[in-house]
Amino acid sequence: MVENHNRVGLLALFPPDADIDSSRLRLEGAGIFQEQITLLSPIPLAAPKTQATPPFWPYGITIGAGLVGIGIGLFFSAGTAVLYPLVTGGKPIVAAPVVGIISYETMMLMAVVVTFVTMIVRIRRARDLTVDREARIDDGRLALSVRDIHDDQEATVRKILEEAGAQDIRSVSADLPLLESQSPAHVVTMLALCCLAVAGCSQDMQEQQSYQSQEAPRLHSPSGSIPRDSRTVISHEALAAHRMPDRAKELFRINCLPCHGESGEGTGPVAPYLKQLPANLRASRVRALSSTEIYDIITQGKDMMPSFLGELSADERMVLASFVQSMRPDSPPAQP
Amino acid sequence: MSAGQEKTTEARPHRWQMVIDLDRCTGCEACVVACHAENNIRISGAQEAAEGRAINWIRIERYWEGEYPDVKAKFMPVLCQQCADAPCEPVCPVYASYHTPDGLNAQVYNRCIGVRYCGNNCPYTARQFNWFDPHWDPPLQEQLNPDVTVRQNGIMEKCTFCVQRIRQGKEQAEREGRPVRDGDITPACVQSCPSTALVFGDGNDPDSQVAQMSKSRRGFHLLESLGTHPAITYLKRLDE
Amino acid sequence: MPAINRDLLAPLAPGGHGYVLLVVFLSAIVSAGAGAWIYQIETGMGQTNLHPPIFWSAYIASFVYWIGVSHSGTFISGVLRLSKAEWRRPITRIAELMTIISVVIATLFVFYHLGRSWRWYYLIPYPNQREIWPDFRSPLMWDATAVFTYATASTIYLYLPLIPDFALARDRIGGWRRPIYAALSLGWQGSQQQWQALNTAIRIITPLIVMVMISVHSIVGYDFGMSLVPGWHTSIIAPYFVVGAVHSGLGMVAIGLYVVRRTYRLETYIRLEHFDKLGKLMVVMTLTLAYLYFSDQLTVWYGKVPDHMAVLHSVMSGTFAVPQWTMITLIYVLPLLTLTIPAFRHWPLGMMLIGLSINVGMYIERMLILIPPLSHPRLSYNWSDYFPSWVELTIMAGSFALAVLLYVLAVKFVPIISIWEEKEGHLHGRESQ
Repeated sequence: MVENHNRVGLLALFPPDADIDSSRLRLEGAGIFQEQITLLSPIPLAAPKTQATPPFWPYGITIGAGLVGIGIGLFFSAGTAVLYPLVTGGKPIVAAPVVGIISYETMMLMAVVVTFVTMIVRIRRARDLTVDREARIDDGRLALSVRDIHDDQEATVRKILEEAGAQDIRSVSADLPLLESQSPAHVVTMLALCCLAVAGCSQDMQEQQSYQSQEAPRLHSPSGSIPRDSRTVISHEALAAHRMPDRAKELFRINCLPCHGESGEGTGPVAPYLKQLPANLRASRVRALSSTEIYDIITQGKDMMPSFLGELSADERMVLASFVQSMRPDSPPAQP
Repeated sequence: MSAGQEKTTEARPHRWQMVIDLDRCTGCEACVVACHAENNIRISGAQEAAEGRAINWIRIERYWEGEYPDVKAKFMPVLCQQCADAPCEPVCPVYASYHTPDGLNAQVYNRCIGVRYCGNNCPYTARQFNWFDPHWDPPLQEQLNPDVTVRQNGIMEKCTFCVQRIRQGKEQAEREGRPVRDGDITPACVQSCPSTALVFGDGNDPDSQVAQMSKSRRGFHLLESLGTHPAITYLKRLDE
Repeated sequence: MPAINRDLLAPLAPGGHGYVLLVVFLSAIVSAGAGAWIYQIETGMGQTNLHPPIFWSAYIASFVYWIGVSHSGTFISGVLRLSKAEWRRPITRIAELMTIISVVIATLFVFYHLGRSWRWYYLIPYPNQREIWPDFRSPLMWDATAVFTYATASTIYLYLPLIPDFALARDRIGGWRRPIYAALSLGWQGSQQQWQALNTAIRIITPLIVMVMISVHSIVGYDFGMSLVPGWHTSIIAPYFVVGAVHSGLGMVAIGLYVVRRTYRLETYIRLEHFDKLGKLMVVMTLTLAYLYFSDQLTVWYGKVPDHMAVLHSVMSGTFAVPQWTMITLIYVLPLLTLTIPAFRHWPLGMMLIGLSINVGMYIERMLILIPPLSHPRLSYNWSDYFPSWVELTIMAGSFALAVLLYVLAVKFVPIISIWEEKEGHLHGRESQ
């Protein structure tokens, strides 16, 4: 394509019954090579018009790919089994029927895919780079493209084409913009790699609920609690605040007062500095909670309130819960 | 088949076996409870049990014989038979179910993806599936056995012959520089059986109790005709 | 030829209100199914009604069913292309599109089924940090390999004859689809070398895909046949599955033909002759399937092995008798009674209804292959029963809607009848006259 400037292409449109073969011969007589001529048709034409027999090479490629596929199948079914010789069910490590089945499938896979890729390459390679697709052939006409002809040949060629019955002849420039497909391959590859990264993060069953050796003591359930109906049923009596009033008040003073305040109305010394006001423990909303629910909130925390799981023992939390529950709406902190 | 089996047993240091004497079994289910406690088996609850999803690695199967009023209840404990040619093993696509060198059918929990083919292919229905994440009503989680993984939702599990105890027994013997003695290792069910209907031991040791008892004329294997070569020998009931 | 272009490109025009409504409606069902699936993953497989000993059921039955439907395309276009049957031309694309969509749906069912679906990649053979490969001795690995091969091959097989049509669409349809068509048409010009490459590829791949198709459903059958479960463990299961698959596939094609023909007024292309030929093929398949089914059940009945008899009794006169006899009526009796009448085969609506009957029947049949055998394990203490839960039903409905939705959307993108093959057939017809 170096000498573009003095070479041109011609595209002629023919009716479907045109005698393409004889005009081809005439073009050859005029010094045009077969390689310069491309016949475009809306459907595959019968053999005489194309003057070609199916080449042997695709079959060879298919068979070769099939053999490679068998190799892949062998590796998967026999090779990996030999690499990791795990016994299962008294079956042989490498079992012939298995190797057969897997190799059959991989053989087919490779044969089909490689044939397909070969075809794509062929189709891409066979494009006539000088012409865009002639859309009008889809209405049943044929198009003959003669490319890369010298200026001085052009008139002869045009004449031959006209005599052959061409309906429309147009010149095409050699550097016509081509419809190129954008390759999204790199995007797909990146996405696949990201997926692989995610796949590596397996944490299933790593954290075990059971008490491991060397583990710090757990402070989960208050004494006297009974497992029932998917939760702990806590024996309220044993740890009721009124049984140990001093202990309850002391715990409240240390752990709750800074935010919830002396009276529990959410007006502790720290409260003004908080974005979200601490709950009023005397509000009806809090009053509606059972001591078990309050226990859960103390244990797990809520909104801004931190969890006291690591700070207080289960018994202490239970005493506190009972204490909070015993607060009256209008009265000062419950007295024993 | 049996020739091949013998060959594999020779190559292996141990062949863990169990004998279940149906004549001694009273169907008290102590083994079931012991197994639950030892192996962190999830508590399914009444609802799931009604749906047939209660997980038991060992269960007492009860069959009624005869017509009322002349009716008899017969029962037998069924657990994973630890087959030498286990149908559950080769069907697993990810080797979650495979044969250990000790001849156990191991279930590797974190390989399992839950295709559940093994469950279908076990003729003893010994395999169980975790339909939901396990849950223990607090504070029951404090009593979980740290030597046994708590299985998550979506994987298969089954009797391991208390593999953690087998490990422990073997390691103890190794520390003391002696071979594993008969009686060193007792799975939870065997330990808890009040009538000693269950006996466990190494079948490769010809003097072990289990090897002796399995030669009994009362001995049979469950669904023997399938050629699974179970490691559990049942001893027939001496009726009437 | 201009007429063919016009008629066959017409379905690609933007749809009206009805179309949009249909898409919205289907999307709603799909979302419901997706929601149910997420719920199932979040909470656990217990949302299904599975329980020991029934570890497989609705999802696997649906998987088998959808793989079966996918055989429509490969069978119709593969076998008919191989035998150079002219009447295949308007049907192939309709059927091939079904193939690829139903393979996708079938694959989805595998994921619904997995207990830990987020670990599905354990099934892929690649060197990994777990230092273990999949066990190819498992029939499920055969299945995974086969379905992957099949999905890849049938996508290629759908795509090959589409290349010239994409080129045509590229030149004639503007808008957002144009660059996609341009990319997909691979720079197709219609030159003789290109035609030759395409035809050679089709010629090579066609017999291969027919062989893959037969292997795929055989292997799906092996998933059951390799097990010890009474009722599954039978050597006839592979051919039985293949024929059953083609049976439901042909039924689905009859439905597709009717709907496409009616919606896009393609009476000149999809003629009564096509329904007639399809009907004849369906009769052959019905008879073959009935023959295989009879052989299987006869063997069980005469052999009288107790474990197998328990399954047989439960389907013939026990718990599963109602679905069983419904199934027999829908897939054997009705098609045989109607399709053997020539006039009936020329009645598109009737053909569609029979297609529907076969497909409903085959869905029940897939369920019956799975559930009765699993409900009757050898130790009768464990016998059980099963009916799908609402989560399973929602997921199944959602997947069905997804299949229809994908089809409805694909019709707006892919010429539903192969344009160049239709032209070729047109030309051949003229020459032979």
